[in-house]
Amino acid sequence: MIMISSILKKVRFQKMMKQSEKQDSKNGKEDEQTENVIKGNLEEDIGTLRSILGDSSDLIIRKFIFGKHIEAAIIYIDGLIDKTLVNENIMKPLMYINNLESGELPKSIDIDYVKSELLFVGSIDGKNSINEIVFKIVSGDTIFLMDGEKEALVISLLGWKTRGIEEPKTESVVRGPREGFTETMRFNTAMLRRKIKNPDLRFETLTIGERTKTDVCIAYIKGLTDPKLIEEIRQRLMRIKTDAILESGYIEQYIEDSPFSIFPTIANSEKPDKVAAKMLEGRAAILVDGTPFVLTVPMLFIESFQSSEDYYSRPYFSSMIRILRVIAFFLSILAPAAYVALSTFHQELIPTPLLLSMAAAHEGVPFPSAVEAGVMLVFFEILREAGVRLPRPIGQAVSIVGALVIGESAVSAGIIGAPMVIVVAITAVSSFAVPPQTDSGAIIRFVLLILAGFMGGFGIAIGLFALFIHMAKLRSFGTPYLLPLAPLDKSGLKDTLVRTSIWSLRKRPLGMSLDDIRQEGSLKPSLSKDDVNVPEGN
Amino acid sequence: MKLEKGVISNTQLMYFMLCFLQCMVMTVNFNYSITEHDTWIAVLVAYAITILIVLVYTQISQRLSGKNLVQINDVVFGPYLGKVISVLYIWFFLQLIINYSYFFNSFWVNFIMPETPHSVFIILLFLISMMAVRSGIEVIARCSFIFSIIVAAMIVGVNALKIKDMDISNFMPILSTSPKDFIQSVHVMLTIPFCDMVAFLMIFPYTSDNKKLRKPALIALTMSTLLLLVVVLGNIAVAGLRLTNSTSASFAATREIDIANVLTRLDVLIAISLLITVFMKITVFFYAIVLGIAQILKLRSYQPIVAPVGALAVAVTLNLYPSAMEQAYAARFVWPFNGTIFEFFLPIITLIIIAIRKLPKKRGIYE
Repeated sequence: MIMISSILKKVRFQKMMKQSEKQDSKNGKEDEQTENVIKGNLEEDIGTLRSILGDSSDLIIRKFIFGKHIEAAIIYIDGLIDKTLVNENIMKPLMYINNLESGELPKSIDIDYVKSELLFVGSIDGKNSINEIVFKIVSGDTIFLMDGEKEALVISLLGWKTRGIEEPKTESVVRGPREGFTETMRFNTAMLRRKIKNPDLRFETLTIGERTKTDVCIAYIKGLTDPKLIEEIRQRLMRIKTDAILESGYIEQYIEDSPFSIFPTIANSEKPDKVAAKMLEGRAAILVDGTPFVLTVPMLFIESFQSSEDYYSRPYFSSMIRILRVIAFFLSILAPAAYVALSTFHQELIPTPLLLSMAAAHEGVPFPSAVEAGVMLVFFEILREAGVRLPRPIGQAVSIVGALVIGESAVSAGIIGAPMVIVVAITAVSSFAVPPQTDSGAIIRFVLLILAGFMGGFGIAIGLFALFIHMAKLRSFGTPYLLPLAPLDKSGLKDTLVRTSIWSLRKRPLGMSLDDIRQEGSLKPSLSKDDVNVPEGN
Repeated sequence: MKLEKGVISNTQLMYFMLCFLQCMVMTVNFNYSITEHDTWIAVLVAYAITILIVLVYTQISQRLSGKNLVQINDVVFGPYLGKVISVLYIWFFLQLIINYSYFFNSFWVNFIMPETPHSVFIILLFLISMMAVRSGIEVIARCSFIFSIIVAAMIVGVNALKIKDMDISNFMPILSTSPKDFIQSVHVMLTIPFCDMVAFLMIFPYTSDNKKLRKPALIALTMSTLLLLVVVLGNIAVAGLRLTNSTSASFAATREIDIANVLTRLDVLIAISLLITVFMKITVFFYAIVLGIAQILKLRSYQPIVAPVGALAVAVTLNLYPSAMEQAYAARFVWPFNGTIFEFFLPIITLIIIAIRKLPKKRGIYE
């Protein structure tokens, strides 16, 4: 099995390589052929642009004359620009000088004069390649064309309707900032910039997607993140040759280390504070325009159990919560399998009174425990899926029907044993305690259940072994997936199962960040020289 | 051409060896029937002797740093005799693999799941072992830290729960076994759990610091001996002379634990620690075998021979002994002499030759 799969992998990889080589050579040729520039004749240039952009109804071409005789046009896509700003800052100044006719204007107005003296716009740029101009138009920039000039002005007056900054639905917190990323990348970079006010914070933007031309941005802190990591990310992103990137999930699947693993090796978050914290640990973030989910690499397995809130509340409670999450993860993958193994193979391990009541509950149930558990788990997954996708009011109805009607009546009808319902309920609840591993947990749960059904405890142990070896093999952008545990990193253990005080976390968790020390010396809180304690008895 | 590109740190090596050696808490069962309640003294004597042997192993590896056992044999005994000795070593590791997997298998079949076909346990064990070997030395070493901690926690926990059943008078009379039996017991203990560390001569060159092997090896040896002492003392204190009745004393003693009718029958923990430690043993020997074969045959990678060696080992294991009692007999009377050759004589001869020939000589002569 292993051999066959590895051979298949090799074959696939070689195919991929060949295809990408072909694509590279094709793209090169196309670029050379379609190299067009602005000719300087307004009608002709507009015609060229119109022929490329077609008769799309949202394309606006506004021709006008300013300075009495100069023909000009502005071109934009309706809905992507801020109309008031275009009217106020482009049209108005140009039209206004038409009537003014004071002697202050030079006799011939050229495009540089327009750019430097007439327009009230911050972001303005001259371009003459048709391809670039077309790309700018569809990205939402306004183009200013002037008759007789071989250059067009690209004016950035973006203004489309966006969702405001809201609390993220997937990661709500009790304590901590409530803002979440939005669909607009520029807002997201601004939110990161506001968290990390440092000149070393860098954003590098690439455009990916032949058709969608999606902006993808690598964010990192220079001098902290390993340049090799950035180079690796850049290489992997540039290798993506696809027509559409609609969500960061696309990017994730194109650049992850082991695409055949059930574990995610790239983390995502909607919260700026979390992403900023990860970047300050030496990670890099990948922002994709059009989605609030920001990717961070490299990802460690232990990150799944960490939440930003762990660091905002005091260490004892957050350590306890973190241990609870680990227990919940193991419960979610092991509970049905362990129940099946115990009740079918190792009854002697169950205390006698409990065994008796379990046997009584299973009395008259027609199926073996493994089948029972399998059916219930599949049913639970269906319920979950139905509840998530349906509109909220219907979703509630579904869960009521599922949980109460079917669960309760199945037990009373004697089709399913009551302990099994409890086990599945425990599994269901605990699987939501560790959101990043919910997907992988669901698969592991079924595999372990099958193993337990065949071989009891031995099957579970073998399954966990295989899982562990697999995880020890995984790497996320060069960093071992199980980092603080395997290979062992003693300073990293302070922030693994327990989270020790924040002043004691002196090292960054990743071995790969350039500057390993987060804080110098002991920062243990202590009284300053003057004793502020009021002596007792006074 | 380098067969193994991975490098493990010396701390990892320590946990690796610890996890490897922890299997001794299971194989010590062979000794109970020889030295009975004096086994703990045999443990201490065997530990003292093993320190010397470990120094021999580490000295060999440090003198010829960066070379694994096959390369060492080539350098020390010359290309032809060296190859013969390397093949013999590989044969020895294969024997170790099949014996350990038989030991593991008979335990699971006899104690936990008597109705399951024998082949199921061995095939599954070898499948995951193959998976680990194919992943390389780094992955095996990464697993070892958590595995060793789990096993140590289980051993200490189970023995702590045994305290209320312990009776100090079970140790009396001390030193009642005859010297001949005592020497036999020490010999068995040396050859079976302690000195099959010789397989680490294949792994030492892949550490980050080849010159500082002594410390991790000795720490691992000491820690595992402490665990072994905990187990042996605990078992003797609980079971006394009844030790000899069972093929697995730890298992029998653990069965007696009964805390408020809730924590009962913890013997499955023993079975799981057996699984973990035997997995580690098998994986190390497996790795040594495939790496050795690849080295001798000058292959570019050891990956293609993992599956055939695994299949061979499974097939032999299934037909090795008629029953666990035969294996116990072989472990007591046959194996120690087989092991002595490879674990004591050959390494010591190697070290003597290294000293006489003042190896390593200039680079490039034997490479």
